[in-house]
Amino acid sequence: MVPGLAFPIKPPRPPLDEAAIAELYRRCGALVLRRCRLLLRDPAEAEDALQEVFMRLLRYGASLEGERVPLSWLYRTAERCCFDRLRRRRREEPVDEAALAREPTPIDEALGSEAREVLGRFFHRLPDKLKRLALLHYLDGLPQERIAVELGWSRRTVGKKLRALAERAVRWKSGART
Amino acid sequence: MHVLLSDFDGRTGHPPRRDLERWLAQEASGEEWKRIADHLASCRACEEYVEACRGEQEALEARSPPATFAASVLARAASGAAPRPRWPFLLAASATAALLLIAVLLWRPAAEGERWRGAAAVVRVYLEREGQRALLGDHRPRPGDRLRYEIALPPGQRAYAALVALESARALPVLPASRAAPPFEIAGTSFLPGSAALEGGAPARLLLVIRPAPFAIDSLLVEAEFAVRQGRTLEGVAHQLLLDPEAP
Repeated sequence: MVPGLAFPIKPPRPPLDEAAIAELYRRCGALVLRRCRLLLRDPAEAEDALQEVFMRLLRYGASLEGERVPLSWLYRTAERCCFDRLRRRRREEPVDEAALAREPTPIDEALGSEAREVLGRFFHRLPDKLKRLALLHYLDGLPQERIAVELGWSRRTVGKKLRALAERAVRWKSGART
Repeated sequence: MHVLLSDFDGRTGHPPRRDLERWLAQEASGEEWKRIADHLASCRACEEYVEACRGEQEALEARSPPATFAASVLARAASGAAPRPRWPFLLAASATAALLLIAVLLWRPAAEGERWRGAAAVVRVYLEREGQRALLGDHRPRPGDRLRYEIALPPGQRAYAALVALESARALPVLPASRAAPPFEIAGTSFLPGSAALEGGAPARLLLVIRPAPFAIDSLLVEAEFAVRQGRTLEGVAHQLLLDPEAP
């Protein structure tokens, strides 16, 4: 028997037009931009990353369910764009951690000192998954249960990794490389 | 799992910053909206945070008005400056996008203790129509067509493969067609047994999954649905194809 594909009809999200992009930008533009600024520490590159997020939305948004593009989707996409850019940047030039610590963004004021260190000058040292963990914890202030849902980990794992992250930040601050 | 917006931090009594931002982005409704609004009315710190975000939005719109931004995004997308699809779950919107893909399977230890050393699998997709077979290439699949998958593994490598369909967030088995069947064991260069007959319907994604160790189709479907819901990647996706009968 040859298996067939008989899919129940479910309309996809309609393609985004100019008005829909403008509306989403009004709701979420600055929120996404401040995340990009925090990650990239470069206002011009952050604005370019914001455009890239919306371009990815044009390309991939049809796979989203429901009428509204959730902020969490925009954040995840912004993070991927920024992580890609950080990797490219790192290949091209050495990272100046001291400069990263001196480049404040609007959101830095709302963060504690440990958060500023981890999300600032040490952020580039983390693998992507731990970068996301750091963002969800230090930046978004989400409780561990919700971080676990976002990352697909158990709550216990989230707790363990957060403790390890804090210890690592202390070691880095004291000058140890690993 | 839906997480309520009203998870106020037990220690500080403030809502998580993410929830304030969701509130600003008008994602809260009903009781959730009211709880945040009530909190903002009585919390200077959170109100200042929200006001700062609003101020940034105003400054952004003054610098780059929404209509200008939207036009610029559409123009960049139309000029082909759009980013390349991200491996592996985000998919080109067009069914005529590149359909021949060399996929590098993720390294991971095999169950027997051997190591899967990042073997490259070459996948070719053929379209069968009216007794003819051709590489899918730029042909646009349509109802009545059949797709056949040819997989080439490096000499000496062995792997397990299955084709699943995702429509919206629901995963369905295609090859093998049963949830209870095992995946196909493959080696060398061979066709996946059977073909996927296209019968039209809603847009769907066809994912070819190749892994170094056996897996259960049922578990794969659960994993795929979870990956879609969470916006995460699915391990071992070697090829994917968007089927959209309505695409221009």
